[in-house]
Amino acid sequence: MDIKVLGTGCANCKTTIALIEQVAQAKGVAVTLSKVEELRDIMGYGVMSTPGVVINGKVVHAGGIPSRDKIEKWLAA
Amino acid sequence: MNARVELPPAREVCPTTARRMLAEGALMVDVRELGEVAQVAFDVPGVVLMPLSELQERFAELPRERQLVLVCQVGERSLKATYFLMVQGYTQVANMEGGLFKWARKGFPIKGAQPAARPTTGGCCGAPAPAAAVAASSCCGGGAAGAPEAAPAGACCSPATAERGCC
Repeated sequence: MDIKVLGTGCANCKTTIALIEQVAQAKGVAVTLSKVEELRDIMGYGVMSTPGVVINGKVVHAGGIPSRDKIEKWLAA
Repeated sequence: MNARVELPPAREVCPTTARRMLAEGALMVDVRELGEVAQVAFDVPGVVLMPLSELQERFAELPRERQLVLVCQVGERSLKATYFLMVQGYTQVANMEGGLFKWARKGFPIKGAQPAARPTTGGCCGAPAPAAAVAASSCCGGGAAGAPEAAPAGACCSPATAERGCC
């Protein structure tokens, strides 16, 4: 599962990455997690509010730290 | 939600170029929030106020057939807005780098209080300095008394702007 976190390096973006890592580890799901920090690339996904989360090329979240429940659903899909 | 769009780098222009574009018919779009505009505003006829927080809902009000110059306080939110409009298919969009701060330092018209010097770091413009000191600097302001309109390209200019010689 390819997961990208979109954000220009704010604290919420870092927290989002850490949370996804935690949940993936707890569920034993293999993920490739990367950051997209360049504004042009972030805006290319049409995301105005960060952090944004892209899973396998699809934007699934924009704005604010996603809840653990939400992340668990993403990783279960 | 959206698939990814590969965007080219946004067009960025300095205040001098922006002003020329406005004189040639471009439309200025200020994406600062209304509270900020109430304190100090661009004194430009026809400027459109469209806060970034409303852009997603209201962008369709902006004409597609006219050149748009996006502006904000320092040029960062307007860059975001520029990319947003590019994603929406707008082709005639440009971001004014440096925003209101740079516009005012150039001595270009504003309404309201003179904005304080932008707190930045590094370079001759970056050191925290009183507004008066910044204004007096021919390097940063370009609008100091007796200074030429276009200061020579130097450490104060972004590389892209320096290439165009319009710092």
